[in-house]
Amino acid sequence: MSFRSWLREPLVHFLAAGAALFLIADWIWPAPEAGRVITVGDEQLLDHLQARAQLYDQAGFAELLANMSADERAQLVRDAAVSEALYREGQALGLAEADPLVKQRVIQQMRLMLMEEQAADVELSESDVRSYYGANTARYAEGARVSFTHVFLSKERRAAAAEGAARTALADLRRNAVPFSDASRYGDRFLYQLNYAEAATREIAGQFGDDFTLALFALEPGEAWQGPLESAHGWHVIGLRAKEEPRVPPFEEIAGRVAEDALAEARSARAIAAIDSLMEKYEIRDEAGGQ
Amino acid sequence: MANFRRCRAALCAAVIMGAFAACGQQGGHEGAAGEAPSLLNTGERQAYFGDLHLHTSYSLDAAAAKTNTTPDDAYLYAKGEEVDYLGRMIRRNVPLDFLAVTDHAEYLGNVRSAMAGEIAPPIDDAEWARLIAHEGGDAMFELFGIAVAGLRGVPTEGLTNPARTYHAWQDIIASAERHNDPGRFTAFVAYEYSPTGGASVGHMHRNVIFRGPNYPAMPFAATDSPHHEGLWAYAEDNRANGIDSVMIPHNTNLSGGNAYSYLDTFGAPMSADYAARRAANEPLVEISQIKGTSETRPELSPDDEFAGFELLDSSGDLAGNYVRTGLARGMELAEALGINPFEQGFVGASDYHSGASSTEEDNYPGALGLSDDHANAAMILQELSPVLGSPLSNLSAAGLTGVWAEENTRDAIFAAFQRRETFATSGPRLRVRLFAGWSDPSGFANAPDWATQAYRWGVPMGGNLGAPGASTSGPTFIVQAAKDPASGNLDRIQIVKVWREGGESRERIFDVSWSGNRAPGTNGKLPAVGNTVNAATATYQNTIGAAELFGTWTDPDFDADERAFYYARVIEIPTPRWATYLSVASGIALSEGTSPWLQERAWTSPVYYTPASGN
Repeated sequence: MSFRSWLREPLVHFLAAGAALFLIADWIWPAPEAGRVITVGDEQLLDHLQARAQLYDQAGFAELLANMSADERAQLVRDAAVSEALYREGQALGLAEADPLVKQRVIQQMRLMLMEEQAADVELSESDVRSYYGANTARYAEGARVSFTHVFLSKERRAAAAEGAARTALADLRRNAVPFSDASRYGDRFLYQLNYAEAATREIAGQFGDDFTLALFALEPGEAWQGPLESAHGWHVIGLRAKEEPRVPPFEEIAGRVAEDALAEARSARAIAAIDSLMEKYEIRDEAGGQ
Repeated sequence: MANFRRCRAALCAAVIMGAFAACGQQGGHEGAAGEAPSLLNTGERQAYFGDLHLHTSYSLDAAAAKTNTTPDDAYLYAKGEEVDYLGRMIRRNVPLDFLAVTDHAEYLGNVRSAMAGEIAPPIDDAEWARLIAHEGGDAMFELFGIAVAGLRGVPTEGLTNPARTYHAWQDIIASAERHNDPGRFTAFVAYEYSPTGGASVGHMHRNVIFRGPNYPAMPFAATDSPHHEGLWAYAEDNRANGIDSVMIPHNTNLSGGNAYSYLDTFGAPMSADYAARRAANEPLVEISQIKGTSETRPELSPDDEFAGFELLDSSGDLAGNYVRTGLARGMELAEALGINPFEQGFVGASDYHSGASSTEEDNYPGALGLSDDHANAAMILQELSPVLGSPLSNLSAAGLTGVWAEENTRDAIFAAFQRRETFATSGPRLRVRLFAGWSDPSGFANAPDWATQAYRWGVPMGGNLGAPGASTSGPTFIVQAAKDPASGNLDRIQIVKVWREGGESRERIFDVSWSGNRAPGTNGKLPAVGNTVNAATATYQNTIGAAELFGTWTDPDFDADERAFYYARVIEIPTPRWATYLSVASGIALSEGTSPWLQERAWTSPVYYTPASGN
């Protein structure tokens, strides 16, 4: 439908950008020949045709070229030579240098090419990935988490009697071996949740307060009811299903993610090294006297 | 020479392959297999908070303002990691549970690329160099002018490069896939469709949120068609191929009155087909964000003393700009068409153009690059913004979406969007639950698992009430609100009722639960909760208000033969706005007309009632 027809026209614009890249590449690596001789062959004619049409179509233009009359070809050779001559003259005058934006684009493209070339064939062995993991364990560290349910006795509803009610509830729950999944049958309505799944310390501390959080993380998971613990809202009998201590997952568990991160870092390191080695070819002089 | 040829060929090949991939758009992006279910899903729905509207430097206007963040930065920030914003390291106090990065589809990635010199400038080189050298001043607004043309359907040649758009879109997909962490953090792939007309057409934007894990090869933009009927066709075609999405309109307040029009976008009276497609594609509306709230305003709701909250000026048909009157109009249209086009749930979002969803008033770094850089406090606090006509400090750090879902996964949260079990907040993570039914809920209302029982008793927020049956009274509502642990206590819960009566729409607000020992006055209004804000220190005390409010309410004037909808609004006690924190930190006074405090709030999605006759 209309989506496809939409693509048709902008595709031309987009191909123009490909052609622009050709031109930029030509600024960076001028033809080796640099005197008063301009040699024009099929390769130069194809480049010229594509740049002029702002369209990248190697096969189409090759066909066009092959079917050209001698007159047409002669005209094209002259056009290409004029472009090349103007380009050389412009180079000699340093026009690209004079235009800060052109200069900026050349720099940007050169940087991209250098980086992409260096990054293209980076491959890491398992031992490279493992040593990256060893050096970056902090990045993979996971905070403590708890999963629990609770029976809540509200201070607002019961005032000073809430603690006693919580201790009675704890005894009843234990005596009757009430499963955690039946917590909802006991106690009062709580303003947040009845069940918490893999909740982080920050979430618990926000809803229950710091003292409660410290006390909760001091408990060990088990099938028996525990507590009661006091929060800002009242007293809580706790059914602690699971607790995950802060940990760094073993390499095997997250090998894929580590490999991706290690590769990204290796590529970026190579790119930086490529810039460094480029700069070794240059001596930098600071007119202000620095190095 | 050989080296040059190889490099050049490689570069071009990369560009060309991008284009062909964009052409072969049938299959789209194939995602990973389904998400692993959480072992700890208790079956109880929990509240998750996130932002469904956030821009990075991939958006034309954010790039023009020199925002430096990427989609990766946006997800990292939402997860609570530190991110570089304009050279400062920023971090959220409390992480979000989910995020959708919604960069503008128009010129996607192109302005950023042009400013970085990766593609040719769209205008004269010297002029472009002058504009992009801006430091947040007049040249920035000139640059905005060029960038924003993309939204008006008259795109600037040179910024519509589909290869750039394609690569930016693939980056966005890859970033969301990388950061999506089922059970811990949900990253949605999304974008913003942003047609913007003149004064008569206004702002008709939609955020397109994909369920994942499959995506179309390209976003559909205003440059493809400014008519949202075209966007729906794209979404419907994709849905038939297993690529599901919802579209969320926002800033109805800036729509020139066209957000809730009686007409389609071609100017013809709305048809039943249009109404059905709108209802199917757009189950939600964004009601609160930095560019103002869209609930209502005093001119439309003179009896609502909380109507004047974080408003911008609207143009055109006023009732067509605001959600409360708009949804009333939906009921009116349904009387004629048999289908309600505007039966929507509510979400809140930031719409920041910083890549940082920083909705915490005490931790707000600005929202649009150099245009509101907090390094320049005097400009923000005192100068009139050319966009707003008032200082930027009058915009609060808004907003967020809350969802009730079984677990923090794409499937569970997307399902909540579809059934409208969502609520909007003006920024805090305050929670609210609402259920409606036809019988007395007092038998379970105080039980620890009251909400689980309420799902069996009635319908949650966003639902449709069934027939009254044997009930002789109006529907009954149970509503609970719990404060954000990091924000102010709660003042009150209200229920807003909007109904049809004799061919007219009416509204009324009922206070349902409130803190302290207040009683309504002779005018029927509950007295204000008080104010503990100290503007000189940007502090407040939770010595007033309540941590939890809970109430039940039965509609005293119910007519079973007329349509109605009901939603809850929860109001916090006054707390300082971000401008007050900035004023105290910088020593620069707030300008006259900037209130040092605000009353943050939440809005539940409405529960809808339709008579069995359907009229």
